[in-house]
Amino acid sequence: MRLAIIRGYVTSTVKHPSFAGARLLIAQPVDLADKPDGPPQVVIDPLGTALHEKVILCSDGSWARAFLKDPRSPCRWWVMGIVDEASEGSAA
Amino acid sequence: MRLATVIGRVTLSVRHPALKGERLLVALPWGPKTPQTGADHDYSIVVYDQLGAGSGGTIGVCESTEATRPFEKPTPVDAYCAALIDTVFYQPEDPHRA
Repeated sequence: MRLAIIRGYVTSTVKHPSFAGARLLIAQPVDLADKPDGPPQVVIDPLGTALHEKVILCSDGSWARAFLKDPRSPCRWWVMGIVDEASEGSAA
Repeated sequence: MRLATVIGRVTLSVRHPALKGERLLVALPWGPKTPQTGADHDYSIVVYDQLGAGSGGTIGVCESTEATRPFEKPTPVDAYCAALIDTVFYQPEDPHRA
């Protein structure tokens, strides 16, 4: 799982049929200072996330295939949760 | 999936039997700065394509074990072109943030 911020979206007409109707968001993985950390990922979004919200991405493809109802889907990354706070050090 | 820009193609004379009839692209995956600068790509990768992506186009590349899911028979693929991207909307920072 990775911390990321939703920075945009893409549209696509020709795609794997399992993505039909799915919102495809661009999630930029970030570190604790909100600095970009690694390449942006296109993710599916079962939660209805807004732009610039901080989220946790999950790379569990089996859940993504269940959500898209297609056992042949190549989808891997999806928005697992919306973050309230991510802080350095141990939680008090 | 990662976004990538198609820069070329690969053809094979000898191949794994499962790859018969393949179409292979050479693509540059986008890095964290690419949406703003159009440069700073990650190192190039070879991508299996069934959708017919053209040179210069933007594609969505599914990687890792999920790249093999669309195939009925076991196929040695770790990057699969899952979408031809029409438009990209990207905002590097939240304009409403104080």
